[in-house]
Amino acid sequence: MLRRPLLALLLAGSTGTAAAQGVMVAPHAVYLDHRTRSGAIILYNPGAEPVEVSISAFYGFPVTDSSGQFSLQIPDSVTAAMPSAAGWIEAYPRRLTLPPLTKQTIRLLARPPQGLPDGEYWSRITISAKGGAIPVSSADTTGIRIGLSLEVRSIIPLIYRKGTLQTGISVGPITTQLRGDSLIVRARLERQGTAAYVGTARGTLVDGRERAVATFEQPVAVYYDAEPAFTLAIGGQPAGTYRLRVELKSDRSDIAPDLLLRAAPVRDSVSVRLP
Amino acid sequence: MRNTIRVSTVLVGLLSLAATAVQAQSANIQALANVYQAIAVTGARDLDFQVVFPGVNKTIAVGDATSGRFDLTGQASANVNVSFTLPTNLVNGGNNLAIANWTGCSNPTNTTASCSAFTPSAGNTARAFSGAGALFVWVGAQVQPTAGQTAGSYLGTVTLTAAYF
Repeated sequence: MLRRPLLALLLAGSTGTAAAQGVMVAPHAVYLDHRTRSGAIILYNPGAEPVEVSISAFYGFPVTDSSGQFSLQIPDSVTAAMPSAAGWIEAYPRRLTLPPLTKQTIRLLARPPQGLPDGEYWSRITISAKGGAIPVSSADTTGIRIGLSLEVRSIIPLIYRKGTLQTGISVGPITTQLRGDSLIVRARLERQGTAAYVGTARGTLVDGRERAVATFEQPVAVYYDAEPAFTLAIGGQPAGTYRLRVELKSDRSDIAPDLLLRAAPVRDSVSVRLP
Repeated sequence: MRNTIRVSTVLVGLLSLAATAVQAQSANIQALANVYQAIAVTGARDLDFQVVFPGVNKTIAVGDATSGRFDLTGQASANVNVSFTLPTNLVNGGNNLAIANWTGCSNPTNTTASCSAFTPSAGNTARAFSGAGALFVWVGAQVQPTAGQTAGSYLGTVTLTAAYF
């Protein structure tokens, strides 16, 4: 007699509640080189239900829009002139069902065409995860029942390198604009060398006594050029003249240092007047 | 991120030297761990319309308790693009139930209060993770059953795509 109320309670509790459909993906970015031509992604299902996972690749790279926001540029068609690795990256397995609380390694193998010139080649890896069950809301009074499940896709960068490559960044004039309680900082960034610039932009606003009153730190990836917008929270700062210092360094706390191409730090500063 | 953590290698070495004097058979090992920073996109809560009556539209707003929610984790302060694949109909065999007027909102903290509204679509919506690497996205919509809507279970899928840079 006790089981039925308990079962009903569990069913009621499950109505409309997703069983945390999705997977954890590591690392944030995959780097392959022409010598080993292989890499791996680790997936983990933290949920209580199996997750159907599929892996695919396409060509795209980050750009910034007019407001300084990063977005992926995905060409309608990929030509031979584009540094795309998407056509020759293979994932093993490409499809799998990941049981709850289990880990799976996805091997990525590159089969580049013969005679591939030295350079850096790019792809994006899509990891799609779909929960196995679709909860259906109960509506016995009308007979109409609705179930909307949530599917998730994560897209991470893949970079394939052949030969000795260099990268760097040049920073154009820094501009600032007040927007509410924030200072929007923009600068045109142009990649130098033969490979994408992956690093971190940091900014510090200092007052007349050289005290830091606001900072930002944001990962950046400049494949060709970009003009990102960085936001400094400056609410409550008194009116006056400040100095904004901006630095770009080729480090990222989410990517192993040995995978990043090193470049000389770039620093610049500009005077800022707060009303 | 891959960090190799060498746990007190020097300390373990000194202890092993001291132990050698009093106990001939001893050994020590290093403890190594590769720590990866993971990203995750999780469908945390299904969009639930609960009771629906024929001929009566029903709307779930992003701030409602039964709105859909996706939880994202990533690199602190990093940019991320969010886009959606949304159904226009929920399907029950050959019968359709229209769903429209999608709404969305995101916030670096898990509350819809003061969240940033947007219209979910196949186009990219630019967002950034919090300093703790978190981002929460809510979706709502309206189902539009006809007066003669056939009874049954109507199913559909909302897909969120998160692009990291």
